Amino acid sequence: MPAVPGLRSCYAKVGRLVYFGRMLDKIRLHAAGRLPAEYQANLGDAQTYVLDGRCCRFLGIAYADLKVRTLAGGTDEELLAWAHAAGKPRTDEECHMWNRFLLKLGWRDERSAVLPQRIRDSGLTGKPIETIIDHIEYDEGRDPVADKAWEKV
Amino acid sequence: MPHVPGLRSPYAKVGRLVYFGRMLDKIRLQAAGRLPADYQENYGDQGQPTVFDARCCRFLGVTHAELAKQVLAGGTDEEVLAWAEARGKPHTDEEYDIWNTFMSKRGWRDVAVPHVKRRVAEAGLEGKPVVTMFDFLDYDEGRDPAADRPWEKI
Repeated sequence: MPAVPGLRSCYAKVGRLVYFGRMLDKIRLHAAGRLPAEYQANLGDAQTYVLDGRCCRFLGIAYADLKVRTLAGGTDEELLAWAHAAGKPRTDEECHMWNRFLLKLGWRDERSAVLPQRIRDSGLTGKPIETIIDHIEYDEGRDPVADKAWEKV
Repeated sequence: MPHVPGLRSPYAKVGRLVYFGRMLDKIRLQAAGRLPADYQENYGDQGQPTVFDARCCRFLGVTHAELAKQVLAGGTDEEVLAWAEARGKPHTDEEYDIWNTFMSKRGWRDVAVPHVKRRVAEAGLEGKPVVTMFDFLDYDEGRDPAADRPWEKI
């Protein structure tokens, strides 16, 4: 996939969390009819391994509720504050662990098996992709390894 | 450090948790006067918050002191874990998975990278394929995680 206008990097943080801002982007783009078809299978929290679902379960909120709240308006920070208030309270350490967990998915874990096929399917063979997030970043034209994006989290 | 008798790999699981069994081993060895001096700095939850014992106790929601008391009163690893889970914070299977993978990957692409490098140099393990803190502990105690790939069994 080329870069999707309005869809930020997984590494971008809102408050204490990576990925959350990207999930909001996907909700807004989908509502505007601008989320590419390839992204729609990974929208929402119906599937266990989908990152939207992981983020919502960590926050303790339903994706459907977040969607309604997001489309009602508000800044990213306001939406995160709503999610923290409506969902499960989280310590700084829990947020830190979740961030690292998410960013390292695909390296030495049960998602490692799906990564080689994804790399081949998206024509990214030869890129130094070691995680699910690396794959998303390269697929959208960013270079997380050159940037060492994980050092800025 | 050479192999420490009675101290298991951090990758070894008790119930749904990595590292927990190793923490129990450290408590038992400490009580028996057989935990080496090099391990004292990373014992318990009163030192640096990033020490693994402290992380494990915070995750469970119990203090190291009360855990040690329970361990030394006797019981199997599984019984001690059941006590900790009943006394502390409840967690979902996914939260265990997040904690386990955070712990087992610590040292790769995070702020612990320099710490792992320093420990490797101090232990004379340059040349070993040490990527994480768990890898370091295993190599340092005479195990070979790169060959055994214990992360695949978590």
